[in-house]
Amino acid sequence: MGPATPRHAARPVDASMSLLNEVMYRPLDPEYAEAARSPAPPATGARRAAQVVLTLALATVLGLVTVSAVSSLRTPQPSAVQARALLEKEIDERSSAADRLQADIQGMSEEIAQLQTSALAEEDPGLFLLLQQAELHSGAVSVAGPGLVIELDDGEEDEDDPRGSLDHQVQDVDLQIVTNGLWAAGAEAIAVNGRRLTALSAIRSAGQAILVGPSPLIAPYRIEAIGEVRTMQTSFARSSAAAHLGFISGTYGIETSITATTSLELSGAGSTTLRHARALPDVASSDAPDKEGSS
Amino acid sequence: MIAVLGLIIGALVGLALEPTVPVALQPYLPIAVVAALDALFGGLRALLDGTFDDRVFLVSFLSNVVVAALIVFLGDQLGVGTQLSTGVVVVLGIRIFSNAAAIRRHLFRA
Repeated sequence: MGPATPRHAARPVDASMSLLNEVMYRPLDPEYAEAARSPAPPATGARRAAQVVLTLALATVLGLVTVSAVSSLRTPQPSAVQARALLEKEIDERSSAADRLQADIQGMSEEIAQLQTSALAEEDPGLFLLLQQAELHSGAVSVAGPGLVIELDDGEEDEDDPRGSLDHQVQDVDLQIVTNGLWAAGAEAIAVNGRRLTALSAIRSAGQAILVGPSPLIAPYRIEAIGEVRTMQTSFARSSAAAHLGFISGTYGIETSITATTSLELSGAGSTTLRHARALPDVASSDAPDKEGSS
Repeated sequence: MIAVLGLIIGALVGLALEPTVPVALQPYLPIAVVAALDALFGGLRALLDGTFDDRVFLVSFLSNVVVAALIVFLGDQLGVGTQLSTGVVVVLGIRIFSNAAAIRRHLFRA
């Protein structure tokens, strides 16, 4: 290169090209060439030392700033990951807390049942019997006895189906039909995957999941029904529910099985909420008038 | 050369300490880093040309970073931050490419 600043041969035809030319053909700051052409007079002694220190300090600061900028530009992802981990941890904590509370409820309802038994059994055996019957039918207490177990499991997915339909999966309707068939066949207590059904339980679907009450279930589904095994078996086999089971296993490949067992144990549905109360005429008369008098 | 040494020391310290950048400065970082890259490539080319100078290198580095941040700041104030940033990145990108090409010619004679 003869002249210090390399000039491109083709002169800009238009003045507006100067910016592009500047950027394209002279990317290096011209100061470098200038400094090389006229080197600064060699400094001596203290002045030179000060220059070195200043240069070093400034360069160190610049390097530090640049690297910290780069590293902070690379960090946003970890914060997202952190948030996710935090959420996961929170979900775990809340779930275990819910489990603990559920266990508490179970323990307390057992305690209440015991207290009720000891208090009521002596005072009013007739009422106690009534209560026991009611609790049994409402699913509030755990029960044990012989019964039927019906198992349903999702069939194989149809690979050729372009729509990716969910026909091969057990639907909420299937469980509804089977449980209704069991009730009709004389079942006294039913549980699906360990969730006791009561008069207020709903079996429904949310998205792809089947919910019994508020809790989602995962296949395979195990429906346990306590009752008189022989009569239940025969009348269930004659019902439309059995026909439906045959239909879904034949059409959609859903695996079904019905087995009779001599001992099943179903847990209670947990706490019962008082929705309606009426004072019994003979019991209420003992203390109600006193209260009315005092108020 | 002292400037390069200082840069390396600063970079190592930065990697070791991992200082956090104030949130207020976060928007200016990407452009500032691109400007710093431009200055680095310019310095490397000057080194290979034999015209490297500590003072010029440091001044171009510092001014590049500050001007880039200023442009983004100004653009944000005027409501054209994105477009201005794009413009700066295009210009700096072309410079970096040209310098990288010159460095390649120096190193591989191709």
